[in-house]
Amino acid sequence: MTESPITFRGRVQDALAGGVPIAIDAGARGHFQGRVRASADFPQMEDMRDRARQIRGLTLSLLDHHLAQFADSVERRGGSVFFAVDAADANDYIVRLAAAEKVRRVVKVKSMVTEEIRLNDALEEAGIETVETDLGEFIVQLAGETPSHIIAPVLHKNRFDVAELFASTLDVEYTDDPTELNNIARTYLRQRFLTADMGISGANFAVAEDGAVALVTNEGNGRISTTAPRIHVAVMGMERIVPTRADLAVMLEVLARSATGQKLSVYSNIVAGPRRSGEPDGPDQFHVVIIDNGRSATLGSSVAEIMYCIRCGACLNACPVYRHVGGHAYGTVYMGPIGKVVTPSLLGLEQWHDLPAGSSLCGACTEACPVRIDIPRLLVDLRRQTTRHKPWTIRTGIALYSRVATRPGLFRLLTRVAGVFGRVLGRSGWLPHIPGLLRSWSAARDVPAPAPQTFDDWWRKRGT
Amino acid sequence: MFLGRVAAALRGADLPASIGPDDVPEIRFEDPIAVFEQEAVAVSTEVTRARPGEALATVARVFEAAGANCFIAWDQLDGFLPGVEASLEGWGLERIDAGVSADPEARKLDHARVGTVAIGITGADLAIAASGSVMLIHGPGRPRSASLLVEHHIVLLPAARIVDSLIEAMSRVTWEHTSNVAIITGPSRTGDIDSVLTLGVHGPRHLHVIVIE
Repeated sequence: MTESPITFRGRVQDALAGGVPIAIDAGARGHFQGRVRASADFPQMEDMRDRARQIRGLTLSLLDHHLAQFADSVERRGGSVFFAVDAADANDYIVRLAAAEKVRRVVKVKSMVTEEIRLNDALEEAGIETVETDLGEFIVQLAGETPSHIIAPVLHKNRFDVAELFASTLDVEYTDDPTELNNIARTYLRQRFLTADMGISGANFAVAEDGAVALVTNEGNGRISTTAPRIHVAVMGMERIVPTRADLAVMLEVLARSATGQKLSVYSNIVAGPRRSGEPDGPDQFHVVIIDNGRSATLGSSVAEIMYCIRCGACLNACPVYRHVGGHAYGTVYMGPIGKVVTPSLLGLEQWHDLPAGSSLCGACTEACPVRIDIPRLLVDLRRQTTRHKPWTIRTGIALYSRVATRPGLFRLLTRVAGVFGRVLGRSGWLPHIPGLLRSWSAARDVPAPAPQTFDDWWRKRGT
Repeated sequence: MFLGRVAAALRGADLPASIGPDDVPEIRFEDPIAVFEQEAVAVSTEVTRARPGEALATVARVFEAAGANCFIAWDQLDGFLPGVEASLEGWGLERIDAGVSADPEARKLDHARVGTVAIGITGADLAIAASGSVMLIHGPGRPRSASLLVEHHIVLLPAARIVDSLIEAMSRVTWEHTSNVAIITGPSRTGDIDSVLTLGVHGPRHLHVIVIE
């Protein structure tokens, strides 16, 4: 996973300095409104969300069983399954397969999990050309950047950025017309689709009873990448399982509506194994790589509910913090409200303890979430666990406060003292910026001056 | 070992709301054909409702407008629109073989042949009224490229195959002869550049669905 050594605060400042977030806010707002419209337009939406949540909970509670059934089904249909404990394991399997099959070029369908394991780097290191085929992801790859949104990876770029990028890297004339830019990419990528030896995709869902993976795209790259090359490798986090085709239908009903406001994405592509005898086209090999990489630990933890996530991006679009700082501020491929839980639980709370703090706990994410993940509850849980990673100043401060607040006499005395300071320092009713330990905290907040009279004193006087 | 670790983790897992509604909300329409048409048009599909004779004329018009003289197609299209195979032959159009080889080098040559054809004709096994989608169950004699690599995808859809919902359509899928099912909702699209809607980014720019009544 792309890891950033600096803090959340540092990354936010970088993002804001770049002036990028305006495009992000507009794009996220568009998706947000699309979801609201699509939900209003679909009387069954709330019931469907309840059912989707139930499917996620029930499936995960028997995940080992469903995974075993899925693997059996894939193998029965002539495909191969590889269980990868971590990123290195997964990359190793895919690179070795590519080498054994003399693969020179890979076409890829945008996938969060392959970003997580940095598969492209592993392939490139092995000398295999790897081409992202989702238009947005292709642009990100050309620019040498990382995605800024789960489903709209170039939300941070406008048409002029793309125009300059294409003109400077693809040997084409400058145009900033989105349709023309699209045509340039179509021509460039079409040639690559048809000459690639291997197509690598993620999996939106994997159907245990059928041994099938479902891939959802709007552009069609998901279908071409899994049809033209002779080898198809689907890489999936182990939580992507649904037991039946009927369950798949429920998940697809909520996925597109929540992601973009579409009733269904343009292409729902369901692949079950290599082509059967007599099929005129399709891959001759089908491999599924199922990845743990920290997921079983998450499943056993108090934030297991985060594994319900179906990666629609609705919580990003709804989140006031995401809309202001953009995806890059979160430091990994998993961003926004969901990222604040996924990243620390997959990569370790010690290094990522500041992410759960970057939220006002307003709950807009839960309201938007198709499977109703209680993200604020999970964030509070993680915050509780992170206290021991906080600086001693904060830990001592909070310990002191709890001593004072639980002793009424001491509390009364200290609030009276504070009132005296309030009269002196805060004539306007507000405190100036506080120096010392609270400097950065007070710099971003208006802090009211302590009242000259405490509530306690006022109440006593009023009573007499 | 992998699954053992998952099982061990599950013993302590906190997975709330495993209770809830057991059945899937029902989606029903009085006039599924009309709903299908409305929803398909809303996602930029070009829909024609036609009697069999008119349907043939619609197919001819797509070829004329595209200036195309060849196509790739599913076998046994007569099962969707009686007489269409003879008509295509009668119009002097060349049918390109869409089969691709398992051999790596021969496969690339096959792609070079198939990848430039402008028109693809398929049937639809089912269609979904609620979303205006068509469902294509691939298999022998049914190339995926006919709905994928072409500029114009013509879908022959007998009206009786339109069902209300995705859930209903999905319950009718069988995997005996195929390894691929595609549910298609409009022409290929993207909003990746500046959130501007653009059609035909990788797949067909035009999706013509002929509903045969």
